[in-house]
Amino acid sequence: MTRLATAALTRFEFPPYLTSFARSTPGQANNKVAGQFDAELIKIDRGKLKQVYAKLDDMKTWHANWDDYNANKPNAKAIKKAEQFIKELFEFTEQLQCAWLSPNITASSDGEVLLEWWGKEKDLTIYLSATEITYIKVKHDDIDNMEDGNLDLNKNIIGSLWEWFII
Amino acid sequence: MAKNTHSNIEHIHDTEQLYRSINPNKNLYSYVDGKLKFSSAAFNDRKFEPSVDRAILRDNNPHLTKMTESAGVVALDALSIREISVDTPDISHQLDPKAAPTRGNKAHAIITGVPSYKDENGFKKAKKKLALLAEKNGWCIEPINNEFG
Repeated sequence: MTRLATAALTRFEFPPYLTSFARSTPGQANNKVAGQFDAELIKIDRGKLKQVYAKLDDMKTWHANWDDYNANKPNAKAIKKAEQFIKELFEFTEQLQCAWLSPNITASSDGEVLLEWWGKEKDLTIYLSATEITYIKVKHDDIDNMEDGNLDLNKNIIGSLWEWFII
Repeated sequence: MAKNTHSNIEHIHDTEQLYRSINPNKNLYSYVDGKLKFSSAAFNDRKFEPSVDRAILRDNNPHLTKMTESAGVVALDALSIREISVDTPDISHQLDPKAAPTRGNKAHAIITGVPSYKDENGFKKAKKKLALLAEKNGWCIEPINNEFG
């Protein structure tokens, strides 16, 4: 297990507004009640994942000017990359048994896919084009210090962003 | 000082309201725990200069800005936009709404970055800040969207 994953497992605590999405910690894994609870939530999460893929699939039907401001239609390769990104992120959350939240899914003018997670205190935006992935993260009480950067489809790098968002 | 009148058509005064039409059907907004959230994509623009309408030149009627019958409209004041800055590794960009009348729309204006963005990265941050500003203000006209009612 990576250092990042170990760190996340040892200090992971859900803020109150995410508790409904939380699963048990690894230490509770042998608890029968907790185990049943886990299985139920995993089932719910799988359903959410299907909805995410369905929304990405729907983007293939969007036409140029879908936003009324002359946007290009979403790029098919970007959509494919978004599907891979979601897969990596979901697997990360499964491995660490941490919360999964479905993103808002839309697109940019250039056909990039946008994945947006909106929290009470932080927002995370991911842009996926055919060739690159970039992110913007912002805390609501410090919007002048937005951070941005590039990503690749590395589970741990994606996971570190996710950890920033949900903790 | 510029006056907030029709005669001063070239300069957008700080007190002016600017309308932005938002498509209701492509996930450009949502409600999270009952709170309205706007996507950065609500301020998409291929030239990095999102279009808005000057309320004063639209008879302060946001319905005239709607791009489609079911679209929503948000109103942003010029001063709040001008107070937004966006930092990139090389430079800081200040947002500035500028009049950009067209043949069919004398109220048309654009939200520019000053200096202009070198690439999309600065504009992506600007879009996010505009979305956060829109969230503070809420809808001027709510869209018609079956998903949210």
